[in-house]
Amino acid sequence: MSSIQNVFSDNEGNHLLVALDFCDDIYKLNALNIPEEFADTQIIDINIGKVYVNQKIHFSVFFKMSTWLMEQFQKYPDAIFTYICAIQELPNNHPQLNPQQFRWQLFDALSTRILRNADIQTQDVIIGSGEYQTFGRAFYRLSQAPIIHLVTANIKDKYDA
Amino acid sequence: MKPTDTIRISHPSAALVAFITDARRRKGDRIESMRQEFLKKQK
Repeated sequence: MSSIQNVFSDNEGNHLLVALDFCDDIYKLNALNIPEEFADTQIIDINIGKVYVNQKIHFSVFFKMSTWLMEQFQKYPDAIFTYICAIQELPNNHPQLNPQQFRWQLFDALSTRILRNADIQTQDVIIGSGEYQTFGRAFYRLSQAPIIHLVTANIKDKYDA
Repeated sequence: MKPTDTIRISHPSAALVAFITDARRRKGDRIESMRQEFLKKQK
């Protein structure tokens, strides 16, 4: 799987790592069950993590990161971008939220901000219930809607117990 | 940004849980690999 990586830093020695992984054809066909006729569509998975997990990072770093992310959305107009929240502990000022919920709200706020006037659709998926939810989002253009519909239909039909 | 209706799967099957678990593991490995590379360069 090829990838693009970047690092964003504040002035206090804290760094945010971002990797965009380009899903290979085997993954698209077998794991995501994307029909072969759509296998050429790029699917890029967003990975975000801090170098020093237990240290808070200045919020400006997230702005820099999300601005760069928007540039990638523009650089790859035919790609679908996906994101799933991690579950590891994450120090923050919102103790009422579990790490996933905090990440989800943060990511949602950042992506809403950068995509305000962009012609980009989003599809959210929330799996599980209570404290054990998984939050995921796909960003896509209208031309990729058929693929999103197929994947989400597959998830609902095959994976809803 | 134009949001579509959120898909909610309250009772995921074992297959979906396995898929999510595997995806998280790969993502965790990716970030950890980047972290180690970054720290190595800093030394």
